[in-house]
Amino acid sequence: MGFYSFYKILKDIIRTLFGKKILKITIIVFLIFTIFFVYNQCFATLSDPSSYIIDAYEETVELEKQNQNSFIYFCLFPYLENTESWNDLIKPIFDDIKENQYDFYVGYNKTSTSITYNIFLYHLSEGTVSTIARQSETYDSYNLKSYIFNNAVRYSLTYNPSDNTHTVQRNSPVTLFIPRSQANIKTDLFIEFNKMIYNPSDITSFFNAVRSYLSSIDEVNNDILTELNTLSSYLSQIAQNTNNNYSQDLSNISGDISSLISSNQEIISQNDEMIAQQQEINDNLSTINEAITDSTVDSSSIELPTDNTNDPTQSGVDNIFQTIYNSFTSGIAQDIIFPIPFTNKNITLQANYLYNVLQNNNASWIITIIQAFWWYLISRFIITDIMRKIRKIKQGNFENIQNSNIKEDML
Amino acid sequence: MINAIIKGLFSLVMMLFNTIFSPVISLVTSLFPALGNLFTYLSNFITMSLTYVRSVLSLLLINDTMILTLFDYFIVLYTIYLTVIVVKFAINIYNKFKL
Repeated sequence: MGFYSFYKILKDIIRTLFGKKILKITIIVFLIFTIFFVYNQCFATLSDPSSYIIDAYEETVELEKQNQNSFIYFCLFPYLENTESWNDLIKPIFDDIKENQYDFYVGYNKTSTSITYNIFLYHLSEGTVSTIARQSETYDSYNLKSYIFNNAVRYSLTYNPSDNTHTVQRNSPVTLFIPRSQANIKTDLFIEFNKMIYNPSDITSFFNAVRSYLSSIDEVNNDILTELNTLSSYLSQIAQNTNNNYSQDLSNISGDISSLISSNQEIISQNDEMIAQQQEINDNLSTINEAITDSTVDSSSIELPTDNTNDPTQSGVDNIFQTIYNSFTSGIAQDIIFPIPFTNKNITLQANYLYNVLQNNNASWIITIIQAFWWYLISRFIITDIMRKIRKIKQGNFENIQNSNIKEDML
Repeated sequence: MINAIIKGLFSLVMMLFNTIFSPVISLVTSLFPALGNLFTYLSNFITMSLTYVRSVLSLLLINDTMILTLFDYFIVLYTIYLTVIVVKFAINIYNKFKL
């Protein structure tokens, strides 16, 4: 009965607020959102994430290729100047990896290399493949696998652009896991540079690889721009060391570099203009947003006459209410004492007498029934009170909805 | 924006109440200087008369949760009621005094 009345009250409130038609639409929209939410929670994880993995894989492959190309640029200066670092440190590394440098498939117990790059610091690792990691058949079309280096020697090659010095450090052998993105990826520039080291008379392929590398550059950043500015001079020096005439190749490469730099400058100017416009738009939006969302309320700006007279009625009424509240809710249940006149004796009625008697005589079900009755009475009073107030609000009589006739409400 | 409007509205209502009732409070305080004592006596009387209310409730097997439910219901009810009444009152006063 109580729950049914409560249901009717809730229904009445919702209908009063939203109306019947809007209530139906609200329920339909709520159901749609619920179904969508449940679907997302239950079935979204079952969708195939391979597309995201492949995208991430391709990005890391591109990064690895960029690292290799940057590494070749790193090697150009010591190679041309035939420095001590080239002869003592870098050249032996290329000698070591020469046998397997053109293999695109890494086999068991074969030697391979891997290069990582972190701002003028290259880690060139060389070691024996001990384990070829298993890969899902989905990606077999790439013919690439991750593998584990056993006894891998890691070289740390550092370039200091301030004084143009190169240092190489040989680290202790370690076991490395080489992910697919770094396994068996060799750029044309890397391969042709290796060929050129051991056959410096024929550098046509190397120059073609340089042009291919230049054509693959989509976006020029500051690092690449620094490389391009000195790349022409390096290539001219390489061409002079040979007996053949590479002037046409050099002019083509210079043209490619010039077009890249000019396009980059155009892009930079366009980007600067776009950034300035975007900044102006953001500033205007921020100003509008601050004006709209400004929640600062300074009540002292409302200058009305005030009086700080202490209100005794407020504290007095508050105190009375607090006394009643404490008496009912947190007061101590004292034993009731009835004195017997002229006998100097008392009859003491313990506050929890009834509870103890019922509890100690296996009649706690009576306690449950009585308390259920009280709960029913209180619930019924609250529900009927709310229903009456809602009825009066719907009739537009809000000021007089209060009724102190609690006896009538209870009955 | 909504927050600012509501805060401003309540600030205005409170200021209006203080302004309107300040002379009344001053009058009552000056005419009945011992009004605070009266409320103290009333409070003491209520405390004394309700000494055994907890004992009666315990004998009737009415627990604290039931009483708290009733008190909370009345507090919520009268808070809403008084808030609406006060806002309507402030708006009426504003309409009376506006040019």
